[in-house]
Amino acid sequence: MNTDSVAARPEGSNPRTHWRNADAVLKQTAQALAGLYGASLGVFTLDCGGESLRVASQDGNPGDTIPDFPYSYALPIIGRDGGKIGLFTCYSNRPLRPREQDCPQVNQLLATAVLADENVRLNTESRELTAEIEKAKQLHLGFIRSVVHDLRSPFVAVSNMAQLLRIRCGEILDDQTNELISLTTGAIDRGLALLSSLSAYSLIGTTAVEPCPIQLTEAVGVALFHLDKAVRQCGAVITTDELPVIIGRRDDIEQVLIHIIQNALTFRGTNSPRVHISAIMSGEQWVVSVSDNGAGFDNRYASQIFEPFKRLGGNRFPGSGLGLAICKKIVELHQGSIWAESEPGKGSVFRFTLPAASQSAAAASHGARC
Amino acid sequence: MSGTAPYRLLLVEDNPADVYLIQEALREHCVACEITCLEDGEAALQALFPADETSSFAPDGVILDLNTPKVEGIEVLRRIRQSPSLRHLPVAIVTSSEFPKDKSDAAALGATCYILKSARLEEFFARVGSSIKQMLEQ
Repeated sequence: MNTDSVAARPEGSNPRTHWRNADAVLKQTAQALAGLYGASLGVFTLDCGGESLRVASQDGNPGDTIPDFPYSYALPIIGRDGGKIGLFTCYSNRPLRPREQDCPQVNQLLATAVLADENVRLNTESRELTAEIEKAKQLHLGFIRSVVHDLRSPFVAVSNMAQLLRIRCGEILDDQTNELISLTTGAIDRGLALLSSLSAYSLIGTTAVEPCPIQLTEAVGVALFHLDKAVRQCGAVITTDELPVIIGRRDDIEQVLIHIIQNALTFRGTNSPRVHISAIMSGEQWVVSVSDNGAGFDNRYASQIFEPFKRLGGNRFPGSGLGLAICKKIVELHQGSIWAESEPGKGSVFRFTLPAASQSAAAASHGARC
Repeated sequence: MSGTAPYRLLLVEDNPADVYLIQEALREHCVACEITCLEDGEAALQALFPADETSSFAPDGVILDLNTPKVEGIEVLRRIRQSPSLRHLPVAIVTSSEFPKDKSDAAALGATCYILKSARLEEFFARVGSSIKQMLEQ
């Protein structure tokens, strides 16, 4: 006799956890059912969403013809939608008769089989959906790449050609024509900056970098390194409190800080810009605040400013209109939220939440870099 | 490269403006070269791997755009690196792509250098001219 209790598994299928779970549940159920009928062997044959699953109650060969057990009795297994999803067969060496008094128990046991079948089917479907999502993600990435690359390419060529024209012919062109060339290259520069921001916005969350403990002070340092020229140009003073260790993706968190501080520098008021960064604990999250003494804005627009291309200052101010939208997308990917409070002429406070690192992770992050 | 014989370069680029700019960049950096320009990846593969081996074209270096018609630049690079006779050929990727994966793929396949086309003419000339000169002189 074959000692394999699972007679037929889909060829090439890995014995995944959900299959093993279904095997265990069905084997136990088949034993109980076979016991009710006084049978020697019980076999479940289920069509788990197209992947046939056969489980026998005990060691034996649950094939169609079993010489040792000439008597058999089969029960159809009806799924939730009323359709037949499989069969339970008892095998015995003496005639089998259904016992009416066992019906409730039989139905209960068969319901267990229905659940096992559903479990396997849902797991299969979930696996297929995950594969589809991954495929869609790859298509999306390919599309972004094409858009960003294919659009950037002619912009770059036109800009360089216009500059070459000015270098080679600038002296023989009149001032008005030279001015037209400058306007052309300026417009192209804005287009290129916009494409870079669109690329950055679209790529958020597409890399497989795992969140890790990050010292916020270090992230602020990197952000200020990027903004060094802009900070010096406007004579901004940036101060920080003692900042915590948070959990996040380093590059993303640095981007959030760069955009919010850049925002404070761009929309500065009449005084020299002052930016202060602090954090307080709220539940299991840190609320990070970036306050400035800038021009501020009407609080009615506080949520609009995080939408892509919502530029309260119009084209008078530089920027692609995507900086705060990038921040929102990143913070939300970190299961956090971002908001702003402001009043015209009285500066703004931008706040965002980030998961706190456990004490041990925070201690381990000192000197470490992920 | 010995003596003063010009370098033989294969430039795979479908944008005429970029072909012009790359040639200008090389001229600015005094790179003596004869450039064969091909517009698509398939033509590049046919030139590098001809059916008739006696007509094979052996350049001193290849300048590849990534988004080339018919066969993408990255595939041309892959074929070069898989070829026993050409796998050491210097290959410069000159592209407009800021897409991080393009850069990492090119590096993984062994591109000699990855040059992002700048919209600042001076920078474009400096990057393209100096990188390719360095690549050929190594």
